Amino acid sequence: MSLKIENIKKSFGTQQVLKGLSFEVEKGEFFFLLGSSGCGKSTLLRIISGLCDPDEGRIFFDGEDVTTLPAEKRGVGLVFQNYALWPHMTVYDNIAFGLQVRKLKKDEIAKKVAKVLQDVRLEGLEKRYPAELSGGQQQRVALARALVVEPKLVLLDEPLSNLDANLRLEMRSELRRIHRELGLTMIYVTHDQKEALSLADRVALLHEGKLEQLGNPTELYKRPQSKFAAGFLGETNFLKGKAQKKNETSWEIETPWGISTISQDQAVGVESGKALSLSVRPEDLRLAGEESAPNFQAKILESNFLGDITQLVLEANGERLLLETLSSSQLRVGELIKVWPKVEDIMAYGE
Amino acid sequence: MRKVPFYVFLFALALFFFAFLIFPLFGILKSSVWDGEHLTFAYLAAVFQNQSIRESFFNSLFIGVSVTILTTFLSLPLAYFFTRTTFPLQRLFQGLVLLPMIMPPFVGALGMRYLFARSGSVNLLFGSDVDWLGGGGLLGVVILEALHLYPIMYLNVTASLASLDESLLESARMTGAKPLTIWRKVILPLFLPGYFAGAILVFIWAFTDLGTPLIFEFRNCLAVNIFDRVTDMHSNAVGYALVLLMLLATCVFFLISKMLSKDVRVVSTSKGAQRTAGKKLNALTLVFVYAFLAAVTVLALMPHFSVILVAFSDKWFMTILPESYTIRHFAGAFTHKLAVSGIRNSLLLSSAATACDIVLGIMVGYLLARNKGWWREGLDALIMLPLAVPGIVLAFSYLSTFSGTKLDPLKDPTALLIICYSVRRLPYIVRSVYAGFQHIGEAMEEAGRSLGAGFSRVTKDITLPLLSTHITAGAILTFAFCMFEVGATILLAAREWDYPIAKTIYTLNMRLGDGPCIASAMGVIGMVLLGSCLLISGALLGKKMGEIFRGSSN
Repeated sequence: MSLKIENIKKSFGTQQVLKGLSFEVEKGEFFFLLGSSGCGKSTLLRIISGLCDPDEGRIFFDGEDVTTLPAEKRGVGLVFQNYALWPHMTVYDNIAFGLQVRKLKKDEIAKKVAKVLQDVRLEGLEKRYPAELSGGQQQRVALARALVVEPKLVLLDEPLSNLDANLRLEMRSELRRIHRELGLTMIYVTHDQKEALSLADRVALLHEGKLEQLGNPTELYKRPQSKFAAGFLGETNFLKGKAQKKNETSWEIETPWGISTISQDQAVGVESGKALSLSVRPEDLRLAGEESAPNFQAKILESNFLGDITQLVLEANGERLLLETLSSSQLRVGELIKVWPKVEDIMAYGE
Repeated sequence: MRKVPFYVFLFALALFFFAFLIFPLFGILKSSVWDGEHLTFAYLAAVFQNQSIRESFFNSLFIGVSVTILTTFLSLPLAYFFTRTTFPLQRLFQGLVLLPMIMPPFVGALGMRYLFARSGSVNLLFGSDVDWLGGGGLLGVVILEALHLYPIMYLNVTASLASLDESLLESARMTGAKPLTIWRKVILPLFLPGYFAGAILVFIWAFTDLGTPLIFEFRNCLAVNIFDRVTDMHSNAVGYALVLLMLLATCVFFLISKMLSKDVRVVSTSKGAQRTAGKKLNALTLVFVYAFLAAVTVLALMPHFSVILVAFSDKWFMTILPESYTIRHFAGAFTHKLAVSGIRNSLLLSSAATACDIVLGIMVGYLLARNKGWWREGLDALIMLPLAVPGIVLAFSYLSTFSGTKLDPLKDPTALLIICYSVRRLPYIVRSVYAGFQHIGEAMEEAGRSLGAGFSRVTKDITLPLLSTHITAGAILTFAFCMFEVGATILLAAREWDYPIAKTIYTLNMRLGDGPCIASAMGVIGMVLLGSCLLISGALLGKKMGEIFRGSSN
C-alpha cells in the first residue's frame, strides 16, 4: 500500500509538535522516520495509525483519504515500543486476537498463527505468557501480532530500543528478512541513525516538527542538506571556510588547506564572498603521505584505540577535529601530523 | 468514546452529584443561617455559646487527632517491616494485620465493654478498679477506632514507602548528602503526600464516628450530639448549625491535607518492577519484630475475640469469663425478626450500592485516566468531595431535603440509603480503578484498536480483564464499608423492618436480656461474611489478601 501525508499539523497545548509535514511512501518500501526525541516522529506515527487525530492535514492510503477513519478500521499493524503485549493472554491468544476480531474460523486462525510464529521463529511458545518470555521473544510476539492480520501497512515505534546491543543486531536482520519475504510497506520510527542507515530504503529526517531531509541512506549520509542533518547522521567535523566564486558546475572555496573546488551538489546555501561551514566526516580525513595534496597540519591531542579503528582527536587552526584511521601505527600525542581531506565527500553550508 | 454520549454522561453525573450531594448540603447551610425570613447567625451563635456543645466539639477533635497519631505509630513500623525487610511468616502477618477491617469499631465496642468496663473481666482478673475506657468511654472510643483504622493508614504508608525507590536514596547518598539532609530533602517530600492522603481519611472517620461512642454511651461528642437532635430537626435549627460546624471542620482539615499532599508524581525511571530485596533481619531484631507484630495482632484482634466471646456466652455477670456457653444467640440472630431483616437489608443495600459504584467507578475512572479536558479537574474534585463529607452529615441533609418528597426516608429509605452509600464510597472505587488504568497504560488498549477491535471489544477483552484486580479490590472495599456504614444508616432507616445490620445491632444492643448477645452474634456473622468475601475474592484473584487492598491505596 502507498501512503501520502499532506501538511500534517499537531499541537499539544501551546506546543506545536508537527508543523506541516508532507511526504509519500511507496508500496513495499521500508521507510524510516528518524529524529531526536521530541521531534514529533512518534506523534506522526500515531496519527498515521489513527490513534491520534491531526489538527490539520490529510492522510491517504492508496489515494483514499483516511484522515477521519478510526484506528480500528485502518487495517494498519502497529508494533509498540514497549510491545504492549496483553499480560493476561498467552502468546497464542495475543496473536490470535486480531483474527478473532475479524471473525475468522478457529482452524483458519490456528493455521495463520502457526504460519506467523514460523515467520518470526517462535514455534513452540504458543502457550507461554508474555511474562515468561525474554525481551527478544516479546519483541517477536509483538511483531507477529501486528503481522498476522496481514496489514497493508506496518508501523514500528522504536521496536528495538529495549533490546541489548547484540539482540538489536540480530533483530535488525530479522526485520530486513521479514520485510523482504512479505513485501510489506513498513514505516519505522527511530532515533538511532545506524538503524535507519542500515535498514531503510528511504529515510525522512525530522527536526522540531519539520521535515529536514528525505532521501535514501547514502544521500542522507553523503549529501546532508543542512548542518543539522550532517551533525545528526554520524559524526562530523565543522570547519570554517569562505566561498570565493562560482563556476559553471562547481564552487571555489577557501579552506584550512587552501583553495579547493567542490561540485554544486556539495554546496548548500553558499553565496560568493560569504563565510561557510565545511562538514568533513572523520573517515574522510586521512593521514597524508608525502605526495598527498591538498593537506594541512594538525597536532594530536588524543589517540583512542577502538579495536577496528583508531580515533584521533586533533587540533588545527585552533579547532578540534576527529579523524578515524585503520592504521594503528605509532602515533604519539603531541606529534604534528599532516592531514589530507577527501574533498569530493565534504559538504559546504552557507552561514 | 464518541463526543455526544460522552457529554451526556458527564452532564448526568454532574446532575446526580448536584441532586444528592451539593443541593442537600446547601440545604444545611441555608437552614443554619436562614430563619425562614431573615439571614440570622443566632443558631450558629447558640452553638458556640453552648458549653456542652463546645466540649463535645473538642472531644471529637481529641478523638480524631489522637486516633490519627496512634494509627501512625502503629502503621509506620508495620509498613517498614513489610516493605523493607524479609522474615519468615511475613505473609501471614501481612494478612493478620489487615483483619481489623472486617469489623467496624462499634461492633468491637459491644464486646470490649465486657472486658474493660469498671466491672469487666480485666478488673475482675486483677482485682483492680481501673477505668480502662477512661473519661466515660472516651479512651475506649479512641483505642477501638485506632485499632480499626490503622489498616487504612498502613496501606497508605506502605504505598508511600514503596514509592521511595531505593535508587532514589542511593543517588542522594552518592551526592554526599548527610542523612538528615536526605530525610529533609528526599524522604519526607516523597513520603508525606501519601501519608497525609491516608491520615485525613482516618481523621475524618474518627472525628465523625457515631457508632462507637453510642455503644460506649459516650454522649459528649459532636456526632452523638447531632444524632440526638435529629428527632426535633424540623423545629430546632441548632441541629443544622451543628451539622454545618462538623462539615466546615472536616472540609477545613480536608483542604489542609490536600495542600500538604500536593501531587507528587513519582516517575519510576526503571521499567518493570525492580523491587529492592528486603533486608534480612538478625536474630535480635527478629525477636523485636515478632514481639511487635504479635502485640499488634493481639491488640487488633481483641475486639473480635471479645465479640465472639459475648456472642457465645450463656451467662456472664461479674465473672472473668462467661460461666457457660451457648449457640442460642446465633439461632436468635437467624430467627429474630429484626436480625433476619437486618442482614437481608444490608446485603441488598450494600450489593446495590456496590453495583452502582462499580459501573460509575469504571466510567469515571476511564474519563479521568484516558481523557484530557477542561472538565477533568472539576470532575475529580467532585468525585473526591464525599471524602470530606461525614456520613452523618450527608444523612442529616437527606433527611431535611427529601422529607415529604417521593424519596422520603420515613416512607422507604431504600433508595436514599443506596444513593448515600454509593456517593460516599465512590471515591474509593474511582481511585482504585484510576490506579488500574494508570497501571495498564494506554498502549494495551491501543494495541487492540490497531488490530481492528472497536471500543466495546477492547473494553471486554482487554481493559476489563486487566482491570479486574483493581475493580474487585475497589468493590470489596465498597461492599465492606457499606455493610457497616453506621452514621448514615442509623439516621436514615426509621422503621424496624428497614433497618440494616448496623442499626439492628445498635437497637438489639439496647434491649434488655439477650439483646447484646444477639447483637454480638450478628456482629460475628457480619465478620464471617466480610471475611469470606475477602477470602473468596482473594482466591478468585489468585493473590494474597494483603495485595487486594494495596491496589486501592495507590
